[in-house]
Amino acid sequence: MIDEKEILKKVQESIVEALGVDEEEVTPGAVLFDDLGAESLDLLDIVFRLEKIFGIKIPRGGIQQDLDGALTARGAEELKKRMPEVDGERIVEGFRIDDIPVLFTVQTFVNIVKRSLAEKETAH
Amino acid sequence: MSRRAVITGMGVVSPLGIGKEENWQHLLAGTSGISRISRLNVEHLPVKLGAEVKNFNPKQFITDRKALRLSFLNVHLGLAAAKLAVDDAALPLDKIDPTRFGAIIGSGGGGFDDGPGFEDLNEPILRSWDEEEKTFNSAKFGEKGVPVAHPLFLLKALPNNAFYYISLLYNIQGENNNIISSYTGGSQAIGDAFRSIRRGDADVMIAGGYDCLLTPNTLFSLHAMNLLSGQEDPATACRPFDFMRDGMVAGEGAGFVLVEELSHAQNRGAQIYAEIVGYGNVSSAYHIYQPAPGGDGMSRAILRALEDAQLDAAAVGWVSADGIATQESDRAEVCALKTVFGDRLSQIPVSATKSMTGHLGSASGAIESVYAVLALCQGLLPPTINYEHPDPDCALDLVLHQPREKQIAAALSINQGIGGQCTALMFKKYA
Repeated sequence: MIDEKEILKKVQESIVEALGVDEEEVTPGAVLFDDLGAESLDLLDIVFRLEKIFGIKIPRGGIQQDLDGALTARGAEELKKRMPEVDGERIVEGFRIDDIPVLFTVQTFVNIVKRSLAEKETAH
Repeated sequence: MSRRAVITGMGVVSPLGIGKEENWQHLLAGTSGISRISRLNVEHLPVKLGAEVKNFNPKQFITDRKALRLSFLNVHLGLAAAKLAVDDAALPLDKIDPTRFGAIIGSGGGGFDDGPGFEDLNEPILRSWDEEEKTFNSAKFGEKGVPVAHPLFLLKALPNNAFYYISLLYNIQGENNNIISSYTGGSQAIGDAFRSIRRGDADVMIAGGYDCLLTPNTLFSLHAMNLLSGQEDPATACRPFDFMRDGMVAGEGAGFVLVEELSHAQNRGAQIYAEIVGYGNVSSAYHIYQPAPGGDGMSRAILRALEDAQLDAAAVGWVSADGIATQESDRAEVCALKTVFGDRLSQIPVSATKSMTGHLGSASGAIESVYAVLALCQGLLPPTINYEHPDPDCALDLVLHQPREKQIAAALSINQGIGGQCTALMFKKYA
C-alpha cells in the first residue's frame, strides 16, 4: 500500500500538470476552484491523470452519485462526514449537489485515491 | 464617402526574430532564418533543414493557463504575434465597443505540434492496434484506448482554438472567421478584415495567420510531393527565382495586424502605418498542388486587387513576391506578373523574403504583409538572398542581397497556396 505522503505528492504533481499552477500553491488545503482557478473541465483532466498513475477507476461524479437537486439536512450531515477535508460551513441544507466539486480541496483527491486503492486491494 | 481601412498595429514572430523590429533588422541585413532543425531528431528524416522560431518562450506572451497547456506551439506563436500587434496599436481596450471589434485568423488547421496530437493519441492508438489484422480496431479502442485518451483532447485539437483565446483576451465580440487553407490563410484573413471594415461590419479587426510546418508528418508529406529543397547548406537552401532553386524550406511563425477604420484610428490618435486599398482573392482551379503554369489565378488576383483599389498597374512601386522557390511555382508567379505588368515589369522591384524566412505556411501572407507595410513606411525594400544563377523564365528586377532605398506609394503582396488559392493585397502609403 502506498503511503499517504506518496499519494499526496503524486496528486500535487497531477494538479500542477493539469492546471499549470505553481507547486507551492498546491497545498493539501487548497480549494481547487477558489484557490487554484480550476473549473469543472479541469477535474476531468485531474481524474484522468490520477487514474493513469494509480491504475484505479474513479467513477465520474462518484461523490455526488449523480444526484440532482439540493442537499437535505441529513444529506448535509452525511457529506460533512464523508468529506471532512472541505469547509464544513459551506455544506448546509439546500446546497446544490451539482456544486459539490467547488468545495474540493487537494486533500479531497488524496482521499479519493486512498479509497479507490483500498477498494482495489479488497477486490483482489 | 466610403470607409477606409488602415493598419495601426503589427506583430510578427518568425524565424527572423520576435517582434517587427528584430524581423526588420534581420531582413535588411539579409540574414537567413534557416538552420538544421533542432526540435526533431532529423538523423533519419529525409528533410533536415527548417526555419524555426528561436528563443520563443510562450509564457512571456500568454498568461491564460489553458491557452498554455491546452494548445500547441503553432497556436502559441499565433497568440504571441496577436499580442504584439494589439500592444503595438496601443488599443484602449476599455474604450473599444466589443461588438464592433472583430477577428479573422488564418491557419493550417487544428492545434498540432508533434504530429496530429501524437503525444495524446500515441498510447490510445497503440492499445487499439489489432495485431492479427494489422489495423486500428475500434472495439479495442473503446475498451483499451479510450481510458488512456486525454479527456480534453477536443479542446487541444479545435481548429479555432487560437481564435477563442484571442477573442477571450481582448473581448472580441464582433465579426469573425477562422480560415483554414494551405498557406493563403494569413493573407485571406487580412483581405477579409479589410472588407469587413470597408463594409461597415466592424471598426477594428485583428487579422493574421499562424502555422507550423515543422512536424514529422508535414515534413514527410511535403517531401513526398517533391516540394522541399534538398540543399545541405541552410543559409543558401531557399533560392527563390534562382535557376538552381529546388524547393521550399518549411518553417513556422505568425503574423498579425490591427486593421482599423480610418476615422476610428484618427479619433483615438493611433499611429497609422499604411492603408489597405485593395484585395483580390481567386482560385486557379487547375491542380491539387501545382500552380497553373501560365500564372492564371495569380494574375487575376492581382488584377482584381488593382481594380478594387482603383489603381492603375503603374502605381505599384514594389512587389512582395510569394517566391516559394519551387521551379513551377516561381515560374507561374513570374508569368502572372508579366500578364499584369507587361514590359513595365522590368522596372518594378520585387523581393522574395522567403529566401530568408523559409515558407511559414498560413503565416506567410500575414508576415509578408507586415514586411510590405514596413517597406512602405521606411522607403527601404528588403533584399532577396541566394539569387546567383539567373533563370531566363524568371526575369525580374529582384532587390538582390542588399536593401534598396526607394520611396514607394503602393506595395503589392501576393501569395498562392497548394490547391490553387491565390491572394493579392494592395497597401498604400497613408497620407
